[in-house]
Formats: sequence, structure tokens, C-alpha cells
Amino acid sequence: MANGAHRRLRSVPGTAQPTADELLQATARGDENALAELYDLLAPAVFGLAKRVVRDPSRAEEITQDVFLSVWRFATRFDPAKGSARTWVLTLTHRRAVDVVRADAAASRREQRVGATQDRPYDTVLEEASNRLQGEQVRECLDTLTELQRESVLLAYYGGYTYPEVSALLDVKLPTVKTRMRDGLIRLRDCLGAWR
Amino acid sequence: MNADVHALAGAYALDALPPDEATEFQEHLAECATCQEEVAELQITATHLGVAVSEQPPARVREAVLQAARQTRQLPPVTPIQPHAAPSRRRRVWLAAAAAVVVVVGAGAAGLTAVLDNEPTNDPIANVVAAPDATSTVTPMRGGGQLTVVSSEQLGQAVVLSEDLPPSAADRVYQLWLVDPDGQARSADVLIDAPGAADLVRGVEPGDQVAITREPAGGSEQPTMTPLAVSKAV
Repeated sequence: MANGAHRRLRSVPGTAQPTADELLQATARGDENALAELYDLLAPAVFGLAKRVVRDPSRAEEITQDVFLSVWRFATRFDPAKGSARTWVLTLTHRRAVDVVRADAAASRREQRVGATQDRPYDTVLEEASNRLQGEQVRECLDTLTELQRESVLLAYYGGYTYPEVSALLDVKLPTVKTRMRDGLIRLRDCLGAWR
Repeated sequence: MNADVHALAGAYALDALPPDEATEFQEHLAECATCQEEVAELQITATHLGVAVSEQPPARVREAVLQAARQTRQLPPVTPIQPHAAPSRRRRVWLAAAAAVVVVVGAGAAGLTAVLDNEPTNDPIANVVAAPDATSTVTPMRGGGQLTVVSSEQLGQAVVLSEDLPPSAADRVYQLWLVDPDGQARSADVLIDAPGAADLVRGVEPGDQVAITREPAGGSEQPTMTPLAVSKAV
């Protein structure tokens, strides 16, 4: 589809849709249409993830805007050999969402201990995670994790908790939580890999 | 490094490390190819969890993004470097390369090598960033902003980036210091008046730390305040 002679990428009816990687590379050349297409492709994941972590829809909108403006500014730095555009954008999204949650939490922590101040009870995080996951593969693969692996991974990723917080929530030792996050993700990786 | 640090790869990929441990792990990551690979793979895995909760944002967000993009300049690319480009041009390119270290580290991607893979050039900033032993440390600053130090022990030099510095008053300037293991500060002869710039610091000795303070215009002989940030150098 994209050929070297053309600086711009457009989706032409009847041709394959450009991939996120291709759109990001076109975005790096200042192509606003490519940014719009990239937005259409990735914004649901960005917004959905941000909203899952921060809960507040309007803050999730802010994060989504922020992330795509960063994508626009830093697109020149994207190297497809080092990773996919989707991972790049979602990694950025998660980092931003977690920053927002932790800045909020810092204030309330001064008064009460972690665990006593949860406005996002962790069983809700877990329940919603398993009820509302869209990807069948992801759901099935999460079932291959042990309960502790699954809880550790999901509380960190969707709950935005640090591993010491997860340790407190689950009443499990710190080193155990660290290990469960890693081996849980590895098991998830291997299971998802088997689907490809 | 020890197995304990490797065990943090999962928590790091989930953004679940407290800030000090995240910084420590990033330092380790810069030197550990195996960890970079593992973190990259686990970040892909985490991405699947993100995609699984997709939800369509309101249309106004799309408009706001495109509107903002129309009014925002993109960072210049790092490569290719024009062999005969004027020095000023090359410098700007490599400022972007150094700035990219911040982006890469900040984004948590295992892509420090994206910058370090570039060919060494005769540009001093480029040389530090591209040095085989270059390490990068990001330190948040008291009162806002962050200090990123990319340093090479072999070269005895560091590139210092200050990001999101609160603007200083007209009669004040940010000044960089090298602090030896005994706590003695010496001026790095760098005054920062343009936030976001990359500055080269020479004469970095093993054990030195880089510190930043706000000083009267023109700079000071010795720091006049507790540093806003102190970062490990070589």
C-alpha cells in the first residue's frame, strides 16, 4: 500500500487499511490525516484503558487528548523495529493514567492508610475486569493464571496500584507480589502467543 | 545485576513500581539487554489488556486532538544526519536525540538503544548519548520538572536535560553543579535559561553527582540553595 513515492498515506477504497505503524510513520512526516486515522484506530483502546484506570470519564478524555498530542509531537522518534505503534501508544496511555491516579491518591493517603481509603474497592476492579473484557483470547488466557497471579496483574494494570499497594490489598508478602506479577505476565504472554 | 532486580520486570511493565524503584530499574534496564527484551515483550502483553477494555471516546476528543495538532510543532527527527549539514543543524538534531532519551525512558519502553544505536559523530552531545557506556537517570525536581542526566564514564562527560522547569524569574537562572563524593560542589559552567535544552557537562569524575539550583543571573561560585534535584552521574 504505502509506497515510497508518496509522502502521504490515505486509505483508498478497495485497498488494505494502513497499519498503526505505517500511520505513525506518516504522522511523523507531519501528515494530519494520518494522525486522524491513527486516532480512529487506537483511540478506543486509549480511552477505554484510561477510563478503566482513572474511572472519571472526563479525565479519561483529557488523558486521551494528551496521549495523542504526545504521539503527534514525538512521532518522529518512533522506530517500528523497536516495537509496535500500538504498544508504544498504550504504554504511554497507561503511564499517564497511573500518574493521574497516584497524584490523586497522594492527597488522601496523608489522612488514612492505603486500603482504608479505597474509593475503588479492589474486588470491583477484578469483577469488572473479568466481566467486561472484550477479547476472548485475553479472557481465556487470564483463566490460565493462578488466582494470585491474575489478581496481582489486574490490580496493577486496571487498578493502577503499585506492587506494595497490591501487596497490602491482597495481604501477600512484597516479594511474592513482585514474582506473581512477572510470572503472571509471562504466562499471559505465552498463552496469547499461542493464539497468534 | 541480581535476580531480585530482574524480578521487577513484571511490575515495571505494569507501571507498578514506586518512583524510586522505577528509577533504579530503569538504570539497570539501560545496561541489561535481556531485561530490555523481557520488558518489551511484557509491555506487548499488557497492551492486550488495554485493548480488551476498548471504549469509543466522545467525538469532541477527536476534534480537540486534531485541533491541538494543527497548532503544535513536531519534534525534529533524529535521523538521517546530513553529512554536510551546518553544525547548528547537527546540534539541533542531536538535541532531539538526547531529548529522545527522556521520551524513551519516560515512556518506559526498552528503547534506549533506539538512540544509542546511532553512529557516533563529531558532535559532543551526540558522542555522549551514543557512548557504549552511556547511562541515563531521570530525577524529579522539587517544585516541578525533571532532570535527565545521560553520562559516560569513558568520556567523563554528561548531557543534562531539564524538562518542564518552572520558569525562573528574570533575575534568576538555573545552574548545574558537579558534586563530588565528599559533597563538594563545583560549577559545571552551565547556566540554563532555555528550559528543555540539552547541555554538555565536561570534566565529570567517577562518583560525581549532577545537581541543579536556581541562582542569581550570571550564576554563582557556590550553590546558594539546597539543590532542586541531585542525580547520579558516572
